[in-house]
Amino acid sequence: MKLARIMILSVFLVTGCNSVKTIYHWGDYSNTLYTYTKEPSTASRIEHKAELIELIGEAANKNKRVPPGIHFELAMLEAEDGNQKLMMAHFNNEVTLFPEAKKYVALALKELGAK
Amino acid sequence: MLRNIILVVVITILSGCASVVTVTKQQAYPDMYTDAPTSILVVPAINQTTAADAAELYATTIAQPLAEAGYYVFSIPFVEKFLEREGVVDGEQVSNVPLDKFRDLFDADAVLFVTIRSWDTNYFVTGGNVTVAAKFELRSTSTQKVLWQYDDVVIHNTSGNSGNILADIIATAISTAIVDYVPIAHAVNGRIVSSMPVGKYHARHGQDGIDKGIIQSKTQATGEVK
Repeated sequence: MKLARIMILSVFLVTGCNSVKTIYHWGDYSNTLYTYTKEPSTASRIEHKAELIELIGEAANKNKRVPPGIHFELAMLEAEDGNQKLMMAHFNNEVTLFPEAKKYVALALKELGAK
Repeated sequence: MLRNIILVVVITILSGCASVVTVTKQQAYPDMYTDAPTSILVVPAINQTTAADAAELYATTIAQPLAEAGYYVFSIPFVEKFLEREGVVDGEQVSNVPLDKFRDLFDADAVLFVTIRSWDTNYFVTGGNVTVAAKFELRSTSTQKVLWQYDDVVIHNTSGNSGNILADIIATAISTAIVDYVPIAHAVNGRIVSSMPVGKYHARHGQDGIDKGIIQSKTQATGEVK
């Protein structure tokens, strides 16, 4: 009887611990993006860019994928900062991770080239 | 006699519960499974509310649930920038752009339109909430059909609940006044997107048609052509 109770309790504990598994690591992305969007400033830009970089590093550590658009966004910020090599590296990463990004990256490069 | 009364009461309660019609994902959104879009372009929201922030809150929090639903989401801040360059600034103007233009420019399989109908902060002594009503619509860039739609009112509770009435009044006032809207926007988007059939990057891609519990009245008819 006692064994049965322990078994039932174990089942509840195991199913209770079954948390929703996410595909990607998001860090604090929404918050820094919201702040940067709502109050664009040097400070909020620095914070958002730092979050993007941190997110990419953390994803590797946690064995999760980098979400769609993160490398793309960082590439655009690096372009603004004049870091061409980093820009290309991140654009290439975006396309490697997500083949759907190919045309979007080409569009971005065209827009950046036209500046 | 008592037994009969109980029986009647039970049947009444059960039939009350049965009045909300639910369907499976496959039944609600068959075109989503045949069209099978892999990429979603999110365009600026149509904001019908007086909350100036609502469109921004949406734009900065919608990528996460869509990506977790298995779709490639084009980086939203830059979609807006590129559209601005084309003279398309808000949600109303976007709805005038022909869908195949989004396919040409971005290679997007589908475009997500949203109308934020209301965003109200309600405060009443020991209780408070933020109530958001929004209509979401995903359209195919190749067939122009509506692949997925959901029209919902989500109530996010900001009430204090310590059991101590004075503490609750204060807690509610504080939490409703200085409420962090980002988690609320997350909650609203997450709940609505959970009705969407999952995409390529999700483990259950193509398998979730059998998932039940989609409230039919929130989905309306699918397969409409613009």
